[in-house]
Amino acid sequence: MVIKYLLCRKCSTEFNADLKYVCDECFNPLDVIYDFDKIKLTKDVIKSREKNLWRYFELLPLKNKNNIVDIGAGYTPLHKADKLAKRLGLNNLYIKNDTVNPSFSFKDRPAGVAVSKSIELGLEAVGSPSTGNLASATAAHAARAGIPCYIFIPHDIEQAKISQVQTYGANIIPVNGTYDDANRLASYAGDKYNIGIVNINLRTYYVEGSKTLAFEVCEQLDWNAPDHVIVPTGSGAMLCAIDRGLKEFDRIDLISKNNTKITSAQPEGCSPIVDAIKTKSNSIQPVKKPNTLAKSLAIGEPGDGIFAVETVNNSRGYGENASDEEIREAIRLLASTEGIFAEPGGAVSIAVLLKLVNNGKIDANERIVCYVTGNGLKAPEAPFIHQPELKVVEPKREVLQDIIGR
Amino acid sequence: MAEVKVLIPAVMSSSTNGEREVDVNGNTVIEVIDELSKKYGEDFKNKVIDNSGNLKPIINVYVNDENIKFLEDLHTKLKDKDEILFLPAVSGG
Repeated sequence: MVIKYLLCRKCSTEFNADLKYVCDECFNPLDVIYDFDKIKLTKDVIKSREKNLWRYFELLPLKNKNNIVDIGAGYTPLHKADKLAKRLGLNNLYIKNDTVNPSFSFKDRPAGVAVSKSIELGLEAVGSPSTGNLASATAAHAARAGIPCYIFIPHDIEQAKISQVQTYGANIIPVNGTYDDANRLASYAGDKYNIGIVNINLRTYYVEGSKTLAFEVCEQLDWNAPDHVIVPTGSGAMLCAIDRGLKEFDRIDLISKNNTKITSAQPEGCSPIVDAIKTKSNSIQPVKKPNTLAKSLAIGEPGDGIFAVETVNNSRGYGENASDEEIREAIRLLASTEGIFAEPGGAVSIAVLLKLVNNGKIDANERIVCYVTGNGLKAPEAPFIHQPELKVVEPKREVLQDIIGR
Repeated sequence: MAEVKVLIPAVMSSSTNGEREVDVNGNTVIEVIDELSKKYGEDFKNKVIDNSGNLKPIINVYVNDENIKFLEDLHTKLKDKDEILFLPAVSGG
């Protein structure tokens, strides 16, 4: 047991590590605090372990390894994107390719940790509000754990995402409203029916899973922190978790220094965090009706928004957004240069990288990591407004001369 | 005065002596919060309203399932049998 206590992010009140997600005193979020003096985690120990997110067990909020629900999430490739880098005039560009997680997005990390924690806390069912990716990740882990799962989705998310969740056997509740409506219903359901809603009443533990995005990148860079990370941002929780992950690796001396700039990337149709960074505001203006191709980032009221703004500012990073067309272009560019097919929410980091390069905000020698967080097959219609038409040919050898020539 | 029902989630109920459903009177959301403060102590109001008199960003308040941020905020008008739901502003992932 390496958890010391839960700590209020604002007023520093301490609580036992139970099913608790906001402070009794001020209702601000709680963070897991570890007993770093007792953590004996070395590079060799980590390297000897299985290649999944649980290789960093001591920095994850579980007491007992027997409670782990594992479907193989994490330890995804850190891809050196030389072709894309050359196109952009950069020398050290990497893609953290989280499109290849078991349910095809980074959400397997926090959901895996939260569902495991729900088992440890003795909860009998789990669930989540979701724009799709978290739905699949929660449903997949619940299936593996053998417990009921309730998924609240806006009714108009991509069909591919709905089919995936249905296949895992979850109970789907399509809500005639936005993500924020689905979130409110899920929050109420968790409270009323004692369900572990992974990103709400299990949130304190849930967000810990996303720290592994930072741990892995450092390990894959031979125990060095990157100079700059570009992070697709919805609620801001993942961005804050990456920051905490870098600080924790620094704290236990697994990296020598941490001066990483953290940049938030959002779609223009829903960018409350980036807007606050750009206008130097210390409050978040919610977006009532998000309107973006990047549905997985359509979070109008970002729960960790203000903390994400602080994190970006403290790290000397940037906030930048991209239009639907810029995101489409980024999806095609990433696929055609590096062979990685991302969904719009995942590719927004690439779209923002392009803008930062064009605006002269990137040093060519910076070691940059773009997080690409979701698989393109989740939104296969996204790359093109009008799919290029294909001409069907007769199955005869002579047609090849016209097409291939030579 | 409108007679309304206030729903408090378990995680906030330490501020309402453990009570989860409370009937109070008030013509606006801020009046309801004032009533709750009279009932449970000024501490309740201090937890949800900031020094400038605005709702703290860590709390969402819904009137009949509609977020007051998209209505008239704390001055949203109430009528008999309206339901006021308080929830921590926790969303997304």
